[in-house]
Amino acid sequence: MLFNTPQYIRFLPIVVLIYYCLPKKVRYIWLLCVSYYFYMRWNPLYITLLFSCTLLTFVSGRILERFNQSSGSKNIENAADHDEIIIQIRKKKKVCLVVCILLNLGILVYFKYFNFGIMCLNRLLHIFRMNEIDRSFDILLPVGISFYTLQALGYLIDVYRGDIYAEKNFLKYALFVSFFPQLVAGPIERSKNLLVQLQKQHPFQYDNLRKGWLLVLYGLFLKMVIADRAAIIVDTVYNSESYQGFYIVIATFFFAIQIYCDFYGYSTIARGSALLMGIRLMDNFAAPYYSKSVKEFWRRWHISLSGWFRDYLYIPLGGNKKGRIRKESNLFTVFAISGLWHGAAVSFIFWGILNGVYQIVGDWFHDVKHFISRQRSTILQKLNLENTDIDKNMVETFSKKAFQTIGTFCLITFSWLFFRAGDMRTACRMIVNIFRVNNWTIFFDGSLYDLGVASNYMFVLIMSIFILFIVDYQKYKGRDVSAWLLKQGWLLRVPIYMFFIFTILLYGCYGEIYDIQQFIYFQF
Amino acid sequence: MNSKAVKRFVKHSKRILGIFAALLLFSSITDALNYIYVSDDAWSRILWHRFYEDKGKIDNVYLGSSHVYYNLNPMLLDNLNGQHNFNLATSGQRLNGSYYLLKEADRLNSLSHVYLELYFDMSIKTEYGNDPIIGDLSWNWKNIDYMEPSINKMVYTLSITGIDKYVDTFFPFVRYREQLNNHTYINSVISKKKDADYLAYRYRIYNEEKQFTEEYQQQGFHYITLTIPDTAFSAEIRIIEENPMGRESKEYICKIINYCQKRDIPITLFVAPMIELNLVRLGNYDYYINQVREIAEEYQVPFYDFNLAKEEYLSFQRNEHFRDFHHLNSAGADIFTPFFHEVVSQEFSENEKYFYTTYAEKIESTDPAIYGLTYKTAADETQNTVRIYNIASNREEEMEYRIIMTPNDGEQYIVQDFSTNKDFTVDEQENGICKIVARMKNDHKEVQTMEIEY
Repeated sequence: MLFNTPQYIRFLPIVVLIYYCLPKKVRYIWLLCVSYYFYMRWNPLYITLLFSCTLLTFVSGRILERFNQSSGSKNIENAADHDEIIIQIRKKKKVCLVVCILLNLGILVYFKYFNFGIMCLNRLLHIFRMNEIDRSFDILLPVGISFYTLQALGYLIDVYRGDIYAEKNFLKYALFVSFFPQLVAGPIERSKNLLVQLQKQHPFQYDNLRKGWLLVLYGLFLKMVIADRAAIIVDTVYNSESYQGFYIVIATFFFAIQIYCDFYGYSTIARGSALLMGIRLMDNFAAPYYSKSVKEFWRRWHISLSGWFRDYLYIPLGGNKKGRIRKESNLFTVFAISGLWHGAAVSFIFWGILNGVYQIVGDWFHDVKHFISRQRSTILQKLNLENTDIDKNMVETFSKKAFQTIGTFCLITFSWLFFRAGDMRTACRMIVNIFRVNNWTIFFDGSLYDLGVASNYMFVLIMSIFILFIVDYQKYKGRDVSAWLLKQGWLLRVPIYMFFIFTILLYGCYGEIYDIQQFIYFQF
Repeated sequence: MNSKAVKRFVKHSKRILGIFAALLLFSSITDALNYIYVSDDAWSRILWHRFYEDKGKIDNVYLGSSHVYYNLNPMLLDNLNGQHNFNLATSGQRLNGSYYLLKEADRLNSLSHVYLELYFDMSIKTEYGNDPIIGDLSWNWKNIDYMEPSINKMVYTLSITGIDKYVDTFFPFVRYREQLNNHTYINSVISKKKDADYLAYRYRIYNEEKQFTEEYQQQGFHYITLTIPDTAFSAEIRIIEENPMGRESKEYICKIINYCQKRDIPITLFVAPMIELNLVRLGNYDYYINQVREIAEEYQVPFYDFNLAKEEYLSFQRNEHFRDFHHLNSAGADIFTPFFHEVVSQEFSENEKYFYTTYAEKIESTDPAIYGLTYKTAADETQNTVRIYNIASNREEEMEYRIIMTPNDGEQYIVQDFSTNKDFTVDEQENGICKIVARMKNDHKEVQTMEIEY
């Protein structure tokens, strides 16, 4: 059941209505039932995977909790024995954690990377002129497996570290892993946020209803009006070998917009849906395209995943505490794995590595900039020009910030080319094709309208992107637009709601003439 | 009231006012968009307007497709049976539509009799899907767009479509999204809706080129004086198999009968007359009649197929009384309506004399005749699209033909000269006149000559 289908638009109000009609103590059971139903709409068989992951991590969590309690026990009289026992328990804890992680990752690897692994192996075998393995496994990737696996493992590591207590109620834990708004494409919630909220009872609050509904509406706008319309242009160019020059540049720009609105739209609908039931999910995006560096971009893009990799991979690898080379190799590793997490293809790994390299090079530039800044300060100090207009102008100017923002956007957009191309051969072809012709006239002669989006729809698309950037700018500045809007009187609010509703109805991609586009991140 | 209660009251009032304002604005914008984008279906709009004008007066309701509103003249029936008759018939009305329209008529009137027309195309399986009811939503939209709000309308609306189509169903303007910025279209829709005839629910035109008048008259009667040209007798073959009726169509016929029987409203099933070529092209029309007859017998309701009427009781001149293969024109309706009244006002058993038992029997009993050309489209060896023509007659084995083709841009040629009868192939792009001379094989007596456009 996709968020942008009438089925979901019908499903959600029914779920919310029954949720508030039920006694507070049993509401979580209702949510668990509908979450499993929601998941089973894709492939009923794969519910077993979700259940296995839930059961495995729940039991492991309980075992780890018992170890935690044992290691904290003060009943051991002899200090030497105590240390010995603690060491033993820690070993057992680690074994338990590693086994559980390996089992969960094993399932993920099997379903997501098996064919990719065989393909890589065959390439190696081909190089060494050995017999290739006959690849005849037709494995359908279970929707959301990458997301719920990470979420469950995050919980387990938290329990291992003693950051949280293991959940005692299996059904509540099962709901934490399978909560339908964020089940298939995140946000990858932390137990400290979601699991804690599931323990509480949520009385009906009109404000939650208002804000939740607004978020759902805005999410649908992003997905149906912007992302899916931009997808038409992107698909037209990327699915053909005949487009060259600025066509590819334009299509890649629109892909940057598409993937953002697609994923941000999904996350926003997820947040809105959860909020309707009084549950607050984390915000996965914080105006990423306003970032002034790639590092900042990754702090603002898919925050839940970046945070997961930071807390459970980057820091355990040593983070930035073990010297420069180690830090850079950690960054490189994390981004390569992040690329692989996104998709089982070399182009995804390359996309991840490219972003890692951006950051490493960005750090070098930062050091150079820091050095220059220090030299400049010394010179200005010597010339007695400190804190003068010359000094201030050199520090932060609008044009400098704009240059940084646009530069970052261009770098990120370039990396998206590998993401969209799907394989390295296509990506390289696209890059070569960009430079084959200089067809800048396409911006003025109406050729862009031949990419599947007629002039009137293009106008609406551009205007909608403009609205997105205005809203994002406010977000970048730390202002919550939805909170602001909800404080306004209905004379302002209602027309804005109507604007979104009718823009979706009139310009949204749905119905017979459009293929309802899956959310891009569903495939991950 | 203390100040807290007052504050709470004000807060709730504001909230309710806000919700009310939102709904009002939403409905106003929807109405405005519908006005701008939804092109008018004049027949349905006028029909429903008149239906609600006649609320409470209707005695007999005639349900069905265009075969009802062209063929039966309710004003004439008023004079014949002294009751108030109304054709609640809409273009392409499927059986599910008939069911809800019946309920609408029954909701607002005290019905004496229900007549349900069962034109085969509305209930047999089509190439669009297993059942025509699912296949064609737009015909039902023509009703629900103009029906007054009611629970019946709501149930009808929800029943005709799956959730995937709710947006198009509840928001008619969405169906016209392709015309969003087409100013020519928008202007034409608006100017039409400002027209005096539109506002007065009038529709009357005179076509100078073909010299006929068309008017949407009272009580759901479509008055038209158009006739078929003599050369227009070519139709695509549509072979039907045994039990051709769709599952849902059958279910809805039963639902309609059950509904009437529960409410003690007599119901009569009938099929309006059509031009012979339209039935001959089906291969075996009796397959359909038999299936309807089975239902009628099961429920003990009368069923009359007026295509089986004997010529001595009901006969039409095909170039005078038909507006096309499917429908009578007003002159035809003037002949059919009194006969229809005569039949339905008598007991079922008394009417046997008027009708043949089967369509095969009727064909067998009529004089040798040719009805026109039937064709099927196919691809030849070079993958060119061609039409394979066949002469539709009631004595194929006993007759032989001379077939002369005169293309619009080419030399005249002979396909067959009283030799062995065979199908003949013509390129789809080729148009012209096909002259057929038919004679009996045994005595070479000329039966008929016909010129048909192909």
